[in-house]
Amino acid sequence: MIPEDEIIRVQGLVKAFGPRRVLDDVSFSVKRGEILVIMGGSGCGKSTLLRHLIGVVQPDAGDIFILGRNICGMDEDQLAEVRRKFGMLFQSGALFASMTVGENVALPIREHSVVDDTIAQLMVKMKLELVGLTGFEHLKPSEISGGMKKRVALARAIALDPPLLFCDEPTAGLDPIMTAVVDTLTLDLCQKLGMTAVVVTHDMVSAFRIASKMLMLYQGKVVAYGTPDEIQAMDNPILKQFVNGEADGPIPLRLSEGDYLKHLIG
Amino acid sequence: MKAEERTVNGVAVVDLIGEIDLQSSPKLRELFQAKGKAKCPRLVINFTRVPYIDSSGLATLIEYYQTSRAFKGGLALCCLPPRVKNVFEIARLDQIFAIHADEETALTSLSATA
Repeated sequence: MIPEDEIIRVQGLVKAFGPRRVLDDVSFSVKRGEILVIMGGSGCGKSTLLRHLIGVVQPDAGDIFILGRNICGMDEDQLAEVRRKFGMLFQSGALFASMTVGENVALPIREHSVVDDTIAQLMVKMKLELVGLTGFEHLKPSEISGGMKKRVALARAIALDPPLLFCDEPTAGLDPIMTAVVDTLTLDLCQKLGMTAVVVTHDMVSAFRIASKMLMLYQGKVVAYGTPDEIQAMDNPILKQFVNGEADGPIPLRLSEGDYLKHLIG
Repeated sequence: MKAEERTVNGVAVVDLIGEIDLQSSPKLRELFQAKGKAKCPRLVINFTRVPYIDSSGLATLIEYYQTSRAFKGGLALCCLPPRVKNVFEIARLDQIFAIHADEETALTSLSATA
């Protein structure tokens, strides 16, 4: 039985693509109102983990409980029911190019509710104001910057006031001021309204500003998990190299010289 | 969600009971449309028994606010539980609506503008 305030529980998650274990016995939990920041270098398994959490990929082993229900093995109808309860901000934004900003934000409202058009329009205006984009509803995605698209996608992700939000790189491409706006909004929604969020990010300033808990993945394994203070205090060289953004350390950036030459000449 | 109506010193008071969300906000809209049609001169909405309001509920209130302004109707909200008050504050609607800590103050504020 999953406690009611435990919004996410991941137990012993394993996923391999061919011979490579992309997720290797990953376990963690997130309570209501918490913000879990998932960090790690490119290819460490962050996005794969996120895809498991939203039910797009099924694991080879392990369980994922979202809002008390195990989503592993669910059929598409059951998954659709769970997905209605969370918002998702994709790394790319994933806006519909043929629709205006306002229509993009209104999409989940129209899809999942029967509210009148006037009410939907007011909801869209409120969400756009939250992400600092009041007055942009009539523009097309091609007419706004990359950072603006990201914020439109965030407005769309929170359009239905989900109790749970997944964000893949929410502040990538944003200037420091807009990063702070998005961070403050995420904190407000979680601390004041009890929303729960899982945020994948490389932005360490943002990560330490918003996280209740932090989890670092390295080669598919959880190498660090704790509160920001606990993470700061950990004496883990892999974690330290990543958090401090150092080129030198245990995380290999390149193949060794021998491996490189062998790879090059066969 | 349920809505109970009463009159206090000539002011219409609506007690909202239950969560205001996508399912229930159309019912709230019907109530407000009736109040708008009747050009309700003074209306207090009591939120004591509202544990949650979502964006559709806020939008429904904004729509009535716009309607009531057109006929110069008074509107006051009162007794918002902390979580509901937070929803208004995050959306910055506390700057638009007259929000009062208790019903008596809300009634007095409308009497003063009558």
